[in-house]
Amino acid sequence: MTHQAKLLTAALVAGTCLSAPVFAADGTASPVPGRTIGYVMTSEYKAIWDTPDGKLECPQGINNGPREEFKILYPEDKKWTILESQLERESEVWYPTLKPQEKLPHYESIAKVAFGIDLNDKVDDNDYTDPDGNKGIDNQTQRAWGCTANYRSTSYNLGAFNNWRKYAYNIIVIELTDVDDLINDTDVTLTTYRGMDRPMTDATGATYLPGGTQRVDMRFGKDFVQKFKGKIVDGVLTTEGADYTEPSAGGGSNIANVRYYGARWRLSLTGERAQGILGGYMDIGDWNSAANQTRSTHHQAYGQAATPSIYRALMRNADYADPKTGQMIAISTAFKVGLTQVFVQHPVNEPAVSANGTAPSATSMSRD
Amino acid sequence: MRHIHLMSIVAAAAICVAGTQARAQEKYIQEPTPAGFKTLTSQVEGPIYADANGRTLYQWPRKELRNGGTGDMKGAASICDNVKTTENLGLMSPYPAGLALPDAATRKSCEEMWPPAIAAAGSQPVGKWSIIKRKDGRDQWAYDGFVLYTSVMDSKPGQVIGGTKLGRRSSDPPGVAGGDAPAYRIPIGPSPDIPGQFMVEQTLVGRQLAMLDGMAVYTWDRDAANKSNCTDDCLKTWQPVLAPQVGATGRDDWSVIERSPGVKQWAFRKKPLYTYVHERGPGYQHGVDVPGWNIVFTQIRPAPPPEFTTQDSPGGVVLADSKGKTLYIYNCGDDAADQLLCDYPDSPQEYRFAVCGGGSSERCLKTFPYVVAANGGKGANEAWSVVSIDPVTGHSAKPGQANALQVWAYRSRPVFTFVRDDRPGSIRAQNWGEFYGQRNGYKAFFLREEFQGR
Repeated sequence: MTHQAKLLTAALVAGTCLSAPVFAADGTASPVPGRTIGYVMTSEYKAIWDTPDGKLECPQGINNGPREEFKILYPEDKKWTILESQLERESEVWYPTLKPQEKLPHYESIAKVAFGIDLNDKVDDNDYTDPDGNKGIDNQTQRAWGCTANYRSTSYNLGAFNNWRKYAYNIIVIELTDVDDLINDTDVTLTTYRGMDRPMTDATGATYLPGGTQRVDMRFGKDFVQKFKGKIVDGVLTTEGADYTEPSAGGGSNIANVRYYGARWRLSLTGERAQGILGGYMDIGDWNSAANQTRSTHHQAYGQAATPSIYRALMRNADYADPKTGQMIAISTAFKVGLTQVFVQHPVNEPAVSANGTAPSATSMSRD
Repeated sequence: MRHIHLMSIVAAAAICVAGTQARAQEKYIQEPTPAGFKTLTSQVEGPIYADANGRTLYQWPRKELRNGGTGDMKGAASICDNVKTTENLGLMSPYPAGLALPDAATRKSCEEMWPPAIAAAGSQPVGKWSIIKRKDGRDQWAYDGFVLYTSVMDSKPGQVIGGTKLGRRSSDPPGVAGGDAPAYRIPIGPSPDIPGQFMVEQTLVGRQLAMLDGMAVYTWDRDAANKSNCTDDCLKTWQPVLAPQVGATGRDDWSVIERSPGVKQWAFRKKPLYTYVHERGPGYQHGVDVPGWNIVFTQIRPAPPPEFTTQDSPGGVVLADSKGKTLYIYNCGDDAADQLLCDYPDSPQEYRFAVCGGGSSERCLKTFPYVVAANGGKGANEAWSVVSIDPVTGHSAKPGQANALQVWAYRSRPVFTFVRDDRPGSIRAQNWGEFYGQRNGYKAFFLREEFQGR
């Protein structure tokens, strides 16, 4: 059975059992009812390539965190004041210096392999090759984050990061429109929204099920509406770059947003699931704020993530300049994402975005 | 401008609803009090207890923080004594104990900041009020087992500056609210006189009525006094809050209507009550986005100054200045055993300067500028006032000080905007600071917080 036939079979089963989109059974095309299909993001991991013991990519070891750095800077042989120690560190969290800190080394991953997407359609000296052999991968956070426990695949926080997608603030819905064929289509539109409903799971709560409904938030979620042009080849969607703001709450009211410039999606699609990579140039200032707004220094310490040191590493490896000022402001990054099919419910008079139209304007929103 | 205009209308609608109840005060359950003690109704905090001089009474329930706890234990003597604290206790990880406090040389004792409510000789316990002996031998009043204090922050009868019930529900036991915030002082008051199916939650708009499980309750403009007009299709979206068959009368403000034979519905101030079928969960209020439907308050807070605006943000509706820039409140609790306040102009400013300016007050003025009162303080009330600030020190200005700023303050604490908020509704400084802006940092002034605790 060919890959295409497998996809069609899976999609057909999904359509039969769950009222998901129905696909042709002749193996030649995969029409989508209404030419539209939606998905809700159910997992998102920082895409860091690493080995179990880290010796290959981090031969100098794993980075220190806030507690370790505090002990280095303020040894116990002296009586310290809050002002010269704790508040000095709190200042540094929010206003990190770019001056190299000799006492606080930050080790970078020397891996030659990285997950990600080619964000600039070029193969540069600093680019990586991904595990599938694709060249030109832009993911400089592999260097900056690769030796920090918080972001490695063995991290305690890995599960926590994944859980973030469950928080109400963070529900990301994508909707593909103008889809003639889910296997091959040269011109489709991907639009992101914030969803308003908990993703549907089975009775255990552990497995996300396709066929749920997501209302889109067109009142408070306007910042997260973004349109990407793309194409589908052999069941894989790739989009062109567009700026994208992602809701990034750490739970409850611990909310923050992060901007990604020139973001791109690469997703393997079925009628039930989509999975792949979301890449982009991450705004480093946004990252620093969001990291600390959504996780206290105490919580960062769980994963030995000292944000001032990480900030310096991100700036050292920044590869995106502000078009207006020419100053480096962002760094290429990638996330592994998983999504589950949903039916997207728009507010009345707010249809899905069409290829020739624009995202709904903020002034015309109605939730009645 | 249409964007701002529309958003303002939407947000203002919720406030307008509250405005219709502006003169109403929360009814409460009468209970015996010690001689001379009284019940006052604060516009901001609702019914509160005060001593014979009208000074608001506070509890300080023990709260477990990250590395241990502090505050008073139920039924135990006060730990707020006359000893001056000079070092932190390391309660809020990850920073260690034993660091000298910024105000170690000038710091007052806990007792000086929180004078105990001393029971006069011959006082007798009554109802929930009891007497607990202090370590210095004096008798101190306690309510519901927790010893009581007044606050030096309160300068006139009925004022409640020393603490708040904000974020607390009438059904919460003492000491549970606040997450990674310090161990707050909480003003005490009588319980609201509401049926057992309901609770009252303190918000920045007012004291909001909700179901006991946290679901918002609503009234409908098309209902008549003690008569529901919500039938047929309306009932697909709105669920009447049913009342029991017996024992549902006898409270001011509350009535029971009979929708149909044997089906009874609660009404508050003659308005039938409903829940919204499509509500996402407790704490949400999506029903107010349906025209004609309103959330319910037992009483609302004083209105913000008229020059302020409301804006839709990614996290809900926020209060903003005249240009639409989100307002932020600075929150601070020091890491000492006595947890003294550090978020008022006359408390140490070193904490705030660290997170707003990397230690520089000059940078703070650029990054988190004060909201200057341009109209001479028109609109000031119990909650909102104009205070005079020395821009260099961050402390209250001296009388006649030439460079003093006249700035808006909410309950004596200045409000700020954030330089990187580049358009109305931007909330880029939400949670800016340690522990999500709760221990040393900023939180946006939410009038409707969509995602709190969810």
